[in-house]
Amino acid sequence: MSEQDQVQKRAWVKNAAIVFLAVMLLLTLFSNTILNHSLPEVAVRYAESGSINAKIRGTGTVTANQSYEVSIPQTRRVESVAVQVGDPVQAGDLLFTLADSESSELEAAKAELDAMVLAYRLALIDTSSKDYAQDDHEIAQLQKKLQEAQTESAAHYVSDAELQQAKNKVTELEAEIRELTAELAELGEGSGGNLAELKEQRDQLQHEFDAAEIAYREEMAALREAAEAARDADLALGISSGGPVEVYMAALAITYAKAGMDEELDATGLLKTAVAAAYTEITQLEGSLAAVKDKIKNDTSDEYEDVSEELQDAQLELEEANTALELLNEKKEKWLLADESAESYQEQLNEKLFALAEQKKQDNKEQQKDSLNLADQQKKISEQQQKVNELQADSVSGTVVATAPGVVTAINVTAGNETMPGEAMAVIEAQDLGYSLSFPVTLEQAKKVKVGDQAEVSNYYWGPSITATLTSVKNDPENPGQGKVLNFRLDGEDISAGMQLTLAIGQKSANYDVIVPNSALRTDANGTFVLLVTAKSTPLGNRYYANRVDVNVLATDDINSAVSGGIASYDYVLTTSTKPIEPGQMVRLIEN
Amino acid sequence: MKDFHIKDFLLKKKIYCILILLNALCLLAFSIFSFAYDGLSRQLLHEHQAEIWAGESEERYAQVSCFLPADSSVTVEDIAAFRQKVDEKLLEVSLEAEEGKSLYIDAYSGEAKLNLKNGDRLANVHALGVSENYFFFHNLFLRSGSYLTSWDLMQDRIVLDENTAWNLFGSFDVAGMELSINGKPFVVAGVVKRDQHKVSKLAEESTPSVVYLDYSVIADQAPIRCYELIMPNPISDFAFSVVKENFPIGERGAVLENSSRFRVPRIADLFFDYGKRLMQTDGIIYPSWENAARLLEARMSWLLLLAAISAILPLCSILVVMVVLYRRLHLYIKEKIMDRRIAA
Repeated sequence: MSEQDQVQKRAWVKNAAIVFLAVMLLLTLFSNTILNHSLPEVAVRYAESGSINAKIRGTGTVTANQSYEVSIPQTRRVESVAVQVGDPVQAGDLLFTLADSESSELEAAKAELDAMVLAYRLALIDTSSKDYAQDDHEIAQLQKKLQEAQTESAAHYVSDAELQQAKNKVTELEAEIRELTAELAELGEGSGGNLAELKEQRDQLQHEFDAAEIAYREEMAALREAAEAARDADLALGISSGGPVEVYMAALAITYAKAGMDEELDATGLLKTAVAAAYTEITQLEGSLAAVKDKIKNDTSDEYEDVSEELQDAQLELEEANTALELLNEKKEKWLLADESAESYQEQLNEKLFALAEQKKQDNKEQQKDSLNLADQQKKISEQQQKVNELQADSVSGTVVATAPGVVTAINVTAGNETMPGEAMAVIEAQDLGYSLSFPVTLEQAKKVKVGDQAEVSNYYWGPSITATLTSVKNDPENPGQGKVLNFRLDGEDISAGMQLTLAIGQKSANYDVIVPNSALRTDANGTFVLLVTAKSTPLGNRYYANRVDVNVLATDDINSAVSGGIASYDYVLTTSTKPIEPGQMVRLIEN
Repeated sequence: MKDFHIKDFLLKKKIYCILILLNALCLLAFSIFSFAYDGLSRQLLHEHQAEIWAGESEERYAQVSCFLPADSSVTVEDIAAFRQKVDEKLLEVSLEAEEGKSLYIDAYSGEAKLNLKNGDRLANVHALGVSENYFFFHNLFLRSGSYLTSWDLMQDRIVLDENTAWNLFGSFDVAGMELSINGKPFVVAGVVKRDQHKVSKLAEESTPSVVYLDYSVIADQAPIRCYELIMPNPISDFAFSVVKENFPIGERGAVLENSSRFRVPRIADLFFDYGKRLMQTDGIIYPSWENAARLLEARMSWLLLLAAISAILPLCSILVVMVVLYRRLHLYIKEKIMDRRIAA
């Protein structure tokens, strides 16, 4: 390292030291100023003793305790106005003159009257008596039909006894016939006991005879055959021209044939006997049968005939009785039919009569109602007539007068214009009864005042003074449970209804040891506090520190709050600052 | 010995000098980007109110916001019911507030257009109907007066921004003055200065005049559009899931955790889903503070990308140096062992 380099190095160190010292000097000289500029600027106020005067303000419209509106019930043209706003009037003083003309109300009333009269007449026509000719005719028809049906019913009347009698007769005859039939059958059977036996015997014998005859005929045929055989053998022998053998043979055949013929002959003889015997028997039986028949015929014929005749008679009688019964039944059916229709006609007639009665009752009611309505209409017509008369009378008297003394506070019509029925033409206030004003407040606000407190009128700077006295504190009907209404009595001159007045009513001023501006109060998570600004003397001047002091707020008004805590009168309290202040932080006072 | 080698090595090789210079520049850039990232993440105070709420408490808190579509039907009663749910959920994890204190704080708001009148002076303003704790979440600088508070007796107090105060009164010290909205008198509670950050100003361009009044005053014309809550978060995502599961956000509402939205993984996610946010499908019109936060997120995502890019070269260099060092050390030890053996 050369010597020149070393010299250069030393020069650099020297320069650096000079700069450093210069900066240090500057900083020392201006430290206070620099410090001051880096500090937050704060405004302070003295804590003082004094009063807290919480005021409740409210605005309301002045209303007269009593006022009345002048109005007429007609639309009329105003000819002239006799008073001006502010004029005192006495009862009977002329207020308005009206033009002499029929009002539109009168015209309307007349038209209405005409309409009512017309309606009444129409109603009269409507309520004329009712006509029941059609109903009466229908009833007469029904009555006629009923009579016819009743006559027919009477003509075909069959009593139950009569019918029963016919039925009984039929039953009796039927029983008789049954008896006679049985008797006849009995008669036939009783005489024929032997007859049947004999008939059976004869039949059997006939059978036997027939069998014997057949057997005889068969035997006879066999016999004839055997005879023919023998004859044939004879013939053969006779004519035999052959050797001895042939003759022998022919002779033998003849022998056999003759033997056979003999046998047959015997049998035929036997059969002939048997046939003869059978024939005899049959003949006998025939005889006995005929005898029996004869006997039967002889024994029973008389009685039987008698019974038969009786039976026939009875049957005839029964037929007659049945015919009679049928006739009776037919008659009864006709009677029932006629009776039924008679009943139905009766029913219809009854219904018709009932309906007619009902109709008459209803009509009667309506007639009564109609008459009531008519009476009402009549009454209305007379009322309307009266109204028309009144309007007509009014239309002639063309003045409106004051009905009570007072001051005219408003005139709502001008000459030449028409009035509106029922609407105020003028308002007259009865001054003797005074004025009032009210406005709503919160419950908390209401707690701060009491009846009798005087309120200041804050927006009425001109004219004579007005005093307002709180007369009552009532519940606010528009905000029940959450609000109250303060009512004031106003005294003074030149008060009139409709004025907007703002009143301020205050709690009686209370004195407190320490009051601070509201802007000095601060709150954080640790409660309410103020920042007290304290001064410390240093060689370079006063240093100011903001220190936290916890306080309790005792009362407050629009500007100040009374507090208690570690603070006394004439302490400086910080009201506002340019930067947030930490407790214990140094601050700078605003230079005024 | 080692130092000598490296020094020697670097001195001899000019290219290494350039590399070192580049590395140093990259590291510097990385530091700057990281610092800027951190700075940006702290810019919007309303995203960090959980820390303010926690105060000196040891409990972990998280801030969660719900955004509801313009036609949302969530009512104050729904919110009261949700608070009960929150109490139940906190009890489930054995958290209960001490007497006179609360474990959580919430606020809701809706927006409408109003005409304000002071004598002959008129102002058409963007009105935010807010609940009592709104100003805890949106700690705007008070020029005069005070915010709307939970101690207010009257609901006719109104907080103006500087612009409105100037237009109506020609002054900023107007706390206690009266003005009227549709004929009804209102009392000025205070005048606030609006958020002065660039992103907030950009987000509030469309609403030059803003006033804040009690939500009940404009409840009938302004549906609740935003609900904010700070509650204990004993484990990650506890608060988020309580809100997500119990708040009636409907099908189109959105829930997000403000406390963790600027953390690196969340911002990196934004980059990975690049452009997805441009697709609006839920019908939500975000309030200005949320739009500001979203704008900030977009900017931070670029910073994150730049920081990541600037870290590439130094990381590679470190890797190369470590490998070279390892090899040299290995060689050196080997030589030593050989020398000893020879000596032995």
